Amino acid sequence: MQARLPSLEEAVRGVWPLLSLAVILVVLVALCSLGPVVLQRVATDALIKLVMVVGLYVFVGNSGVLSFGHASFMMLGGYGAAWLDVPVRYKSILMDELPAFLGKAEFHPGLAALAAMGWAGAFAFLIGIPLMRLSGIGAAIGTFSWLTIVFVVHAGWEEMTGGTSSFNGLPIYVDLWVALIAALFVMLVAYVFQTSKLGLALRASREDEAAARAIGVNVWRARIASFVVSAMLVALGGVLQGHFLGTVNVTQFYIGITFITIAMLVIGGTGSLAGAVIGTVVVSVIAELLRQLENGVDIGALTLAAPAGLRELGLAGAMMLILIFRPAGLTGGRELPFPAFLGAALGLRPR
Amino acid sequence: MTAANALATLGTDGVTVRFGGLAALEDLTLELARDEILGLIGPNGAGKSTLINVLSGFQPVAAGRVYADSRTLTGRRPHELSHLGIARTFQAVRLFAGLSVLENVAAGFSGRPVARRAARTRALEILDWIGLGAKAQAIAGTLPYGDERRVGIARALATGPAFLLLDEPAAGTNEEDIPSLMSMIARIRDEFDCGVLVVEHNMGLIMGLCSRVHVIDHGRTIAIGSPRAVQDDPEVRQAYLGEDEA
Ligand SMILES: Nc1ncnc2c1ncn2[C@@H]1O[C@H](COP(=O)(O)OP(=O)(O)OP(=O)(O)O)[C@@H](O)[C@H]1O
Ligand SMILES: [Mg+2]
Repeated sequence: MQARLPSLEEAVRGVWPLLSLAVILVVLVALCSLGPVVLQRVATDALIKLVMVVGLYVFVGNSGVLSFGHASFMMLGGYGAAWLDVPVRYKSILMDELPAFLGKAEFHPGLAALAAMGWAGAFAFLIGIPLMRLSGIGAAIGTFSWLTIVFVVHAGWEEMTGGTSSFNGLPIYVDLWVALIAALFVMLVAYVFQTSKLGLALRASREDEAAARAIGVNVWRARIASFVVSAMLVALGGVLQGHFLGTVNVTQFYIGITFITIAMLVIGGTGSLAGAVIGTVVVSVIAELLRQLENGVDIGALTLAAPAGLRELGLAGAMMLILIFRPAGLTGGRELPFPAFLGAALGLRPR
Repeated sequence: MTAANALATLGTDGVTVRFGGLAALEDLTLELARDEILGLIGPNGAGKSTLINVLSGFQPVAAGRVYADSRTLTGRRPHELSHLGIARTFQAVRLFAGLSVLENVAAGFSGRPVARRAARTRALEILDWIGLGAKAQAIAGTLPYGDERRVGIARALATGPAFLLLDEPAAGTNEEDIPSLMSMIARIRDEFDCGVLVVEHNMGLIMGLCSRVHVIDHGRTIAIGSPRAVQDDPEVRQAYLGEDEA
């Protein structure tokens, strides 16, 4: 019985879901780092998506409540950090209408990233107070409305954001390794959260809300807490995106990214960290292959180019197929199983 | 395993619940003491589950009040009542199907100041106590029906209740397993220091287990008394004969 198992097994089993994913990810990234620069950029972009998807998972996966609003936190994060860490010499030219306390200030990018996460987290808390009373379709529409508000405010507030044109001059510090470290960090936070008491209470409410209330879970509070953590992680994704491209733009954090991050999570399996990670990796690979097809493939003297838009079609198709044939996603909403051979190698009994 | 709080009674005072035109409960007064096993019986649709919903904060009342000792609990939400020591099971069990049996029970510590690891350890103790320690890692949704009900009880016990409300704990249980279920419920009162309200259609269980039986029909009390006394009550006989041959 569990209580009498050796503590080594407890320990190994306890960290296995995180450890296995981290190892897979590090190996993949190491392989990509040996490839051409283009591949490294694609991998970096995928890792940034991973930060966003795992961040999204912390709320959606544990609570079972869908959110179409998380791109708002990427936006808050991306612009929030840009206000703080774009060099004054750029701001004075490109964003000369910024209020002085921002326009004349320049902070360390790390500090800016932390502040941007806090900024997004604060909004998540405030908007979570009413929104976390909703579930199902109400939550989906409510969170989407929130995204619309954030989009319109950022697009309309010319002095602060440059409106619909890009806000440029962000220091570019995100490379493959920075993105990898961020992804591993976000996975760690997600795993610690889901195995915490609060995480368990929230997953219980996902399975049966009434039964969770009956055992003392304040579902609203648990959802708000996860919403804030989730928003902060997703905001980090927005920060990374901005400091990878050197620019932020309102359309970058709107419908397109909302769809792709949800597609990644759903295809991998909403209910597990493994689902978030595997979904992101699989969809990134498919999307990249389709993109290359769009760009044209040389076969001898012939160049075959698929019609533009193939990538979106492919993703939408994959999402529909998964929803129809494997609704719990590729991982079935489970974490990676502990392999028997490893148990044997460690001298542990199979279960 | 003793619950920390000192409440001695839980009850309703003249509670009425209406669903549209139908009065599911009408001026119902019931009291459960910390040291008793009270049976709540009545024909299908009598209002037994509705009463459990009222006592556990799931069902608002149109009139009357819910109390524990001198505290009025009417209008409190389910999780608050859980924190006060009121635990329940569901007629439809309602386990967290995608979680392991251990997680189901460990989640019962959500509202208590117990650390994560301690919650797991104590959840395992409860599972061992209830005879399901070997299935701790099983996914709850894969359990056979009888085991499901016991996990539901274990989960409720994990909240550290002063009062436990069981909605048809014997449903789907084989007749030969009833005696062990009965002794388990008796041990809950003794070892967890917890008053138990049992809603059941299995009369053998009610008669063998309960010190007192409260009979309702159409949302009204028709008899309260010892098992023997209510069995012989003409109105009780009429209620059961009139509706279904129990
Ligand atoms: N949510 C609801 N909406 C409308 N009517 C309801 C609702 N819940 C219960 N009722 C009705 O209230 C009455 C009492 O139902 P309740 O479930 O409390 O009965 P019960 O005594 O538990 O019956 P059973 O032995 O079949 O479980 C029934 O007529 C039922 O149809
Ligand atoms: Mg019932």
